[in-house]
Amino acid sequence: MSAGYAGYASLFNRKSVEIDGLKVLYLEGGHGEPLLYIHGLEGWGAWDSYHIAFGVTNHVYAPLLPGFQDGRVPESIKSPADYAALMSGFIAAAGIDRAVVVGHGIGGWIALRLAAEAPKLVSRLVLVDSLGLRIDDEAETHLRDMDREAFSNAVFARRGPVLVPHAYNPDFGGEFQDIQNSQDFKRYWRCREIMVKWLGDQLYDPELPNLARNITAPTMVIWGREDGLASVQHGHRITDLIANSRLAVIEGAGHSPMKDKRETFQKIAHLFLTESAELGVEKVTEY
Amino acid sequence: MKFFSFDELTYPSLPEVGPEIKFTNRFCDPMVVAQSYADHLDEWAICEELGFDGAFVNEHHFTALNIQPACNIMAAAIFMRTKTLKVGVIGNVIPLRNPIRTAEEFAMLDCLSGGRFIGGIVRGVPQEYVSYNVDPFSSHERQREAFIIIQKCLNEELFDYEGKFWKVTNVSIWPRPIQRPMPFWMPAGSLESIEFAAEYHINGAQVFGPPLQFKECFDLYRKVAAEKFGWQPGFSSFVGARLIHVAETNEKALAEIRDPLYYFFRTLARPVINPAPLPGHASDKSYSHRKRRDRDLPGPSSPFEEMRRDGFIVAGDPDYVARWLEEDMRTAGYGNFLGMFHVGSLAHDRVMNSKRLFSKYVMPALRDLNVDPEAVQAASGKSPEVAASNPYEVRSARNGDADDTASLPLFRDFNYVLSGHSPEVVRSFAGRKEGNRVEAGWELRVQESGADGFPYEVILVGPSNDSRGGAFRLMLGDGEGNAAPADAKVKIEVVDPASGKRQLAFDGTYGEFAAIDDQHAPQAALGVRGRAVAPSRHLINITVSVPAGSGAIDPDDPISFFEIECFKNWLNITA
Repeated sequence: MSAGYAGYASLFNRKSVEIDGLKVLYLEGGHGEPLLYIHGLEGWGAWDSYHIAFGVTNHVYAPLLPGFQDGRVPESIKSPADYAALMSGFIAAAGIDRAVVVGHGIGGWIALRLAAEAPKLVSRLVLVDSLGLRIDDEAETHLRDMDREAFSNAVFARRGPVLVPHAYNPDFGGEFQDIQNSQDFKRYWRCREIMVKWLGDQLYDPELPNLARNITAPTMVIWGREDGLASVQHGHRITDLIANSRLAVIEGAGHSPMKDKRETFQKIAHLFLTESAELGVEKVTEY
Repeated sequence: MKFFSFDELTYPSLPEVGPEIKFTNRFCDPMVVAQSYADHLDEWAICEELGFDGAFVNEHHFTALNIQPACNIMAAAIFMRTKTLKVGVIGNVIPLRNPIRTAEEFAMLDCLSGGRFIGGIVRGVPQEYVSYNVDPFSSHERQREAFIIIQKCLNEELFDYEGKFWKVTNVSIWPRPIQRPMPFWMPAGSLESIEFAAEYHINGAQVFGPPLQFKECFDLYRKVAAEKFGWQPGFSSFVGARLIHVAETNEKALAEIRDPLYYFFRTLARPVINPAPLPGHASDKSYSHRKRRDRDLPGPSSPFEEMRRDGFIVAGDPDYVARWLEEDMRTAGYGNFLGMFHVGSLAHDRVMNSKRLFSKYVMPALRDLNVDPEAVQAASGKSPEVAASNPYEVRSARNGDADDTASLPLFRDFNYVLSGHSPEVVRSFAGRKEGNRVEAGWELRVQESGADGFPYEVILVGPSNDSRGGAFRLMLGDGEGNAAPADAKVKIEVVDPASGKRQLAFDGTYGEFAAIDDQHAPQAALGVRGRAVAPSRHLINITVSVPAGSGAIDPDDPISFFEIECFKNWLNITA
């Protein structure tokens, strides 16, 4: 039986902690085993629906990667590996022994390194449309070359007007929204600019395959079928590399399944976090 | 078309403050609430005189939008002001309530009103799950389980239920409702809600949307009901709910309603806690049926004219309102109109005037629209599951009549079996002469108290409308392994040793027992034929007699035995 608390999950605080001279802002909320959520291109700032979903069963720490607020990535952060070291410091600074680690996109890349290099800190791992791998015979993604249309189509599977039910009661009305005019898109577009400035077009980490092989934590890999930044083949590759892992492929979702298929994403994560038998034992499941 | 009146009962005088200020109850003046209750009760009560079919109330929590979190109390108050008006709730947040309590209140309301109550359920909105601190991922499961328990309470005599969230035993609510099945309504906009409503034949309501959106939802309901659950909903299965205001002229109506309408939407979007979309509350396929985008659905900040055009508010003179609603009803295909007349902060006298104009000019023009043929109406609102379950009959014990009761089962609620090994057995006897017959059998005596020290009585259960009585099994040998003669007479009597008064519980022949191959086979045994109560110190005599010289009967023969399934009633324990 899934036990969870909407009240605890909806309450959160904005905090900060200093690690190696860097000020790290973070959101904290929920109730239960600690969970570290490392953001991707969606950036940071809001206590979003998926934070609440994690918070129903877990005590969530959602740090802002330094540099992703003002666009100035610190000199000391040369690569995602440096962010992984910073997250290791964050876990210690937060007074946590170990945590479930969830990473999306660039955050998945960081989470994967963290799980491989500091396995004692990571009790379980959730990787969502992670970046950092390369698939033979597949063209590389060039963030720099993408215009708004191409980027939107890569990140979101939603096209044109989409019905967004009212938050206060999904059964009562809603509004159609165009994705490219949404707040979500603006945040993603800005983070894309930061990524390009920081990493150039280098969305590949040659060390990742070997690192992934060392990961022992139970791992859930969640991927949007229509991800245009890291194809679903990347999800299969990661799942092949990590022994104790499963892959959930979400149809109708792009690079951000928590946005395109919010409820499906949250349900999968919830089943994994509660170790529900409903999740099944298949290596690959399509939703 | 049937007409109902429904209001959120919005607190009418919130100040305009920024989003940084929470609308906690420090903004609530209880005297304002008292006046609002009085105004709304007048507005609901007048519906009877104006020819409405019914009135509805609902509950929300932790918000000024709706200040009747215990809306069943308000329904009771409306019943006390009316004689024929139906009153319903749409509804109780059943995933967050004790379902037995909900059913008890529904049954009470139905009896209180002489069968005028309409039940209703909702799944609840985010801030309710937040403040009740309930797992939102379980909301659908909780709703289904609670609804099943409510239906069992309302329709079954006695039941146990073990689910994921509720484990209840020996439930038999008092009172039971007059209406069986009780009609139910619920809002049904998402796929899950529509499927749930169609499965249980619950009337589905739509609110806040253009006619085409209503139509899409109702069409989906029809499709799901037909293809998945095998029934055809009529117009009466669908409810169109709209904010509405009628005045003598269009200009007057618009001038009166504009500010209260914005007040309403402002309050709707401002519960005390307004979390991000709550996970687990819906599914991604929930709204895939809403594909049409002829126009954007207006939101709280949309221009007034746009909201009026798309039916977020139906406001105008009687002619405008009648024409707009006729088009809406024909397009969407609903048979119940749920008018929300008291919009936000609208003044009481304007609500009353609006209702009078609606009743006088609009209702007559629309009455004949979307009326089901009688047969369809009769089927609507009845769950086959419920209809098939035991139709309620008041059951009473009746005099034993074998012909009448032969097809009934044995009494199943026995809790004690009298046999040759029971502590009540005093002795067995044989060869006792009684006139020209010879008797054998067992003599039993009910003790002063049981082994646990509590006094008790033994009830031999006779036939009733439910059963043919408690099982009575008997086999007798002659002392040499042969069966007793078939024409031997068998009797069970309860005797009061003080007064000599006798109660006859069984009178038959041994042949009836001998004719049964296996008396322990299910439902094979004979039943006790007359109810008899044996209190402390009373005797229970099981007697078999044959004409003198016609054969021997020996209760101590190895093949001899008796069993009587009966009810042991502990006198100072109530359950």
